[in-house]
Amino acid sequence: MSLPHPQSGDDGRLLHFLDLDGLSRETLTQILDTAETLAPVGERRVRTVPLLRGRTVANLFFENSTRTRTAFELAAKRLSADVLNIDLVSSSTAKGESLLDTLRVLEALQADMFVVRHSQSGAARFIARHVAPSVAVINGGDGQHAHPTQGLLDVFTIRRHKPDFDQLVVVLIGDIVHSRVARSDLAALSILGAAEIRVVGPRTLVPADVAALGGRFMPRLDEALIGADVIMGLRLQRERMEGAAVPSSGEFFRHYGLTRERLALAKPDAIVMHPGPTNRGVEIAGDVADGPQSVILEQVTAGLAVRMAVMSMVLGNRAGQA
Amino acid sequence: MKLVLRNVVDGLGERIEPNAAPVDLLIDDEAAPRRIDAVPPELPSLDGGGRLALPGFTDLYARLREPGPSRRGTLATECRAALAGGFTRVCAAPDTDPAIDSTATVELVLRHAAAAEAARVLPIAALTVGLHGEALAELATLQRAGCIAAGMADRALADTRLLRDAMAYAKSFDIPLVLRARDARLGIDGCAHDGPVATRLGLRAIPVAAESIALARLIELMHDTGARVHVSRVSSARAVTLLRDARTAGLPISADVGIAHLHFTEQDLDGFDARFASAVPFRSASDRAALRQGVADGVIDAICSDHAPLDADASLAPFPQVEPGLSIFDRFLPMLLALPEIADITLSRAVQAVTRSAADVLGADTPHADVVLVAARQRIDPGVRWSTGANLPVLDASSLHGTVTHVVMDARVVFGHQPSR
Repeated sequence: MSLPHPQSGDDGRLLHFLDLDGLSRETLTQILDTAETLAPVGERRVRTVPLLRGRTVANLFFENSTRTRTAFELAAKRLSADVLNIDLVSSSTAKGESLLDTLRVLEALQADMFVVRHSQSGAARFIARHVAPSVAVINGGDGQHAHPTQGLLDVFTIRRHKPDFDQLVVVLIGDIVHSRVARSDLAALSILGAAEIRVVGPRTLVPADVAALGGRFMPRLDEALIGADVIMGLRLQRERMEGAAVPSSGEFFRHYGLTRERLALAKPDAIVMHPGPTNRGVEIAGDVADGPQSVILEQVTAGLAVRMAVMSMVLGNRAGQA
Repeated sequence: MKLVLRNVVDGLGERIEPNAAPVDLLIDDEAAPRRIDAVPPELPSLDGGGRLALPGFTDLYARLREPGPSRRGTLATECRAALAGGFTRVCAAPDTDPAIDSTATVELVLRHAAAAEAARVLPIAALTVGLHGEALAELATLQRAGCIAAGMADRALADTRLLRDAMAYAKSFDIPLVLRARDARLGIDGCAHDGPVATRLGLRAIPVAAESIALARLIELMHDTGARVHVSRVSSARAVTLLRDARTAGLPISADVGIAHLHFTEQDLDGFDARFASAVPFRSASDRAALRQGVADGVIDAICSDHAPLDADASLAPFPQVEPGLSIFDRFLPMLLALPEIADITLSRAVQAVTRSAADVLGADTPHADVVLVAARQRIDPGVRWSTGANLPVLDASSLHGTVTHVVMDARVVFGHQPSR
């Protein structure tokens, strides 16, 4: 009775990349391995490979995002694809044109792939269900639901430092409720078999049933950090710091901010991550963000390789189709 | 008018035995139906073919969409669809466009409903002007114009003082209030039950407390004003508990549940399945179990359709942006007849919940010359559609059984083959 997931074809191959639901450890590992082979492209003098030559990738951003759009754009260009950036925030959909009508027009431009960012949870799946069969859809973030390439680039970065996921203690701090990044991180870590995923934050920011996401709620950061291998901060949106979910950014930092003193509670070789942009002095102290254990900029670079891997695999899977 | 139903299983009483021997029934618009031994040759008669005869159903809540955009349905289409679902009376939701807040709109609804020559329409008046929750509508005038009750449709009423006044005013004219328990802030931007599915999908959630707080407020104001309140379309186990306690305390409270909420849970919308987007959220399996128990033991008096026909375009958007609602009429009877199989609800109780119990809520009689003939074991033909709604509930059609073959109103056959003389 339930709707089939539009992501995979009958043979299980990825036709879109929408979220991490139902993906196997093997599939995720394969994507990460592919990303490893593509990562050196960025180190070369000529930083392109011809994998998507002649293909057109359209970035459809229904919600503002400079960082994610830029990363997808650069990843597509490194694969030699033609890239269209279409800003839809202020465009026809804002004037009442339906999402489907907008899609039909963009399909007529004969793109092979849509990278979609949308403010509503489920938008990527909706688009994948209704798009022409010739178009692959990559989710660049849908509402509070998923940001699967971010989840992948995070585990890609972790794997480079700590390859044994079944030994791994990961701590996620802050706004889980409203975070698509947290959902995709929890999904990716669960699939790869992380030993323990601790989730820390005030109850206003952590869902009551966070266990459904594979996390274990811990109320106190100091306790959660003991024995941690990986510490992931999450962005706290400004509108939630002003008396609703959190009384103030200062109070949040005092209780959940990652400082040098707190970091000392974790394992000595623990790594510090954040999807960015960071609010220094809210989620993380500046000297921790810039410190030797921080891999925040590595995450950004990893995002290119991971997105190249996903785009080339999805279009590659479709190459054999009529 | 008189009509003889020959060869039918008598399901008009309190206990329904679907395997009982067929009898002949005299339907009379001036007297209660009775079994007869010999069919008077001068009366029109209909061969029921051994089918089950049930009283005409009363629906306590359905959206008939008129006045409003006709692509979602009209009184002509939806009243006909109601008959095909077994309903001879339908309480029409006030959230039409414009809302049912003036005598002109009530008259239009009643006129078009009469012209449809199908189910009778009992309009529910908008409790406040335009359903805006700011000023009381002319409730006594609307009652005189033909409204059976008053309510806020799916809107919350934020202003507790206005609600208290509304209850006191409605009591003065003995106007039943049909109110959904919904907090004005909590969960107001939500689109799914606050549970593991919404958490995984990142959907804005509607906590149980959004219902139970509003219900507790209604109960306190009932103590305060003495008003009679019918709680429309409850969704949670907590609500059932509060209703049970309020009844024990002797309050004149009653309640109904939408038929779909006895079938579905939050699990059904997993994967962003917009076919299960509902203004009253589908909650957890334990909530559904409590609703079923509430129907079984009568804490929930009635089952309504919560019919909400929509055109196909309304569901073509990401889940949080689709218009919620299910088009129920075309599936109501099989969903009702399935209750004894999926829950501890007898056939007699299920039928009572859409007939006598529903009429009692309105303080109305059951029209004794309204009878529905049902082929209870006949598989449904999924291609037969009466409602305009494209948003049918998702059910395994091959397991659904129960088709309305005839509807009799005021001892006249208004749906199905005509009687012979």
